[in-house]
Amino acid sequence: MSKDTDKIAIDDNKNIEEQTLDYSKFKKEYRNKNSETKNENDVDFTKDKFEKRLQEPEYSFYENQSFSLEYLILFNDFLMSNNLPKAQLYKFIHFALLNDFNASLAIYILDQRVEDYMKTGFKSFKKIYDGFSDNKNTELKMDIDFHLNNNFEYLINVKIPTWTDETFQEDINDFYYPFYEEGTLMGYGFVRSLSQINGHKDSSKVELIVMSLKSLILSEYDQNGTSQ
Amino acid sequence: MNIAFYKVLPAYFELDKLYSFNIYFYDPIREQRLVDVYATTKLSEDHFEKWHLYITKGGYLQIDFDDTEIFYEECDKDFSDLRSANPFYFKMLDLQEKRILEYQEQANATFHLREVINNISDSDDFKPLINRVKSEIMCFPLYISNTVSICTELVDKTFHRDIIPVRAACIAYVFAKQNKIEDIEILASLVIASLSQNIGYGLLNHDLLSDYLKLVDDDIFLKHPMLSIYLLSKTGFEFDKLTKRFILEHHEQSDGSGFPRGKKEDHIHFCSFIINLADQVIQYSSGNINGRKTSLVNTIKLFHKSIPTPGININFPQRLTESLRVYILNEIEEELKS
Repeated sequence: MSKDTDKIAIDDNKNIEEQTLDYSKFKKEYRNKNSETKNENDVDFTKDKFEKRLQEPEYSFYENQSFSLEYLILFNDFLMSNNLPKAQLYKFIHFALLNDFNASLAIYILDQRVEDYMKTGFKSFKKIYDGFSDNKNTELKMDIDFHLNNNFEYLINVKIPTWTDETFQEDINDFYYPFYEEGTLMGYGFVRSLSQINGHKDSSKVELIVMSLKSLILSEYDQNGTSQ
Repeated sequence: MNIAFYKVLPAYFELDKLYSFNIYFYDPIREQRLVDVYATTKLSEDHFEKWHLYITKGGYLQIDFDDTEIFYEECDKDFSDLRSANPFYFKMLDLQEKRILEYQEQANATFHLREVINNISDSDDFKPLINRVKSEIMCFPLYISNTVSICTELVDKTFHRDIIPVRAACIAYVFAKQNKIEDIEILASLVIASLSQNIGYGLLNHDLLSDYLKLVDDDIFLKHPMLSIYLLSKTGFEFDKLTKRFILEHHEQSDGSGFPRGKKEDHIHFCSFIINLADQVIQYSSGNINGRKTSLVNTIKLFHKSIPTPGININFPQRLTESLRVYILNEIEEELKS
């Protein structure tokens, strides 16, 4: 209570010397006090709300990836269909690689009649698909027989799927995929990609697409690599 | 679900300036958010150095969504700056909105499933069913899980073709919904599994695949669920357990006579039965099993009545075969009339 207001109170009651108690003031004070405590509650409430807000989970979207499974699903349907010739099936896989990775494909089957392909050399392998010789992209157009014949030493030492540049930094990256069945080499898939493979995430898609050719390779190998 | 905090870049703030909103730091490893600079605190060089350190450790700065307007004003920035600081969020948000705009109307339109099934029986045209299922799936939110997002993408990339795996996935989806399976994650797993249940065939000799009955008799056929899982694992992504379970169990049978593990009904997920049933319905009706086409309704009737037929398995939980009644009501009505 301020002194000024006390004075006023005394002035208003000049005839009375004793100080009177103004209960309305007490009531006001009481009300103010109450409202102050309310404000404190408000602060607590805001603090709680703020703490909750801080703990809001991060809004996380999940990327819409398909991991190239769509090609396997479509290819599986084509495989089950009796009408499609093998050449069309190879073309589909070639299309998948070209579409997603600007890559081309060649497939070679080992002729079972050859006793020792190490001795016979590259001619032990029969080309059953060539996506390079007629390629419209000049960077992908090449004589694949010539290229692999020159790299035969490298080719026969590839025992597992291998990229020539495992760091995926070179503009041109070659992928060699040896097809094995129960430890027996049946043939090779060769893929050349033009700087579209940006790491292991992409490379595993290529591997998966080429791997799906195994069904055809098994069939070709059984026929001594002689069918087209 | 609305975003609560936007990511911002240190470059958006100025040295020695006071801002009337809090600047937060989010640590993704601890999944923890803290107030890094309280409102009306002058930014010093120490702040910027600390932020640089945060960012190199994978953390990032944020502002509260409610402070967006004041952030624009005090930092002289606009919505494009927030977009460039949150590229993945806005890319996905745009995609989600685009999909909703394109598919929601069709997904919510009245759809007479029984009529469509009957039409398919007459015309062998699955497109209305495929389009409907596609539109429903394309409206699935992309913030639920990886499985849901992958499912939407696979559907987007495959459902433009009327092929056996797509037909089977559509039938599995409607059977699941008929059986009150509404959980989006389960439906997503079911669709992925249904589409990719047989990709393992790609590792079997092509000569075997031309004759379905010959293939089923070959021992190697028993391995195809595992081969499908193997191919999924080669993607480098760890698919969720439910999807893999559905694929692994899609040839198990109620009486334990299925493969690869000979599980009995209580140990087989109900959705695995749905995937199996849908696949067989499609394979049988398209003539892949016995060499002659059968109408979809007649095929469903065959499974509903559990009629023993060469080349198909009819060992399904009773409630599943019972639920098929709805698709053949017209037939039942006609039978009752006669």
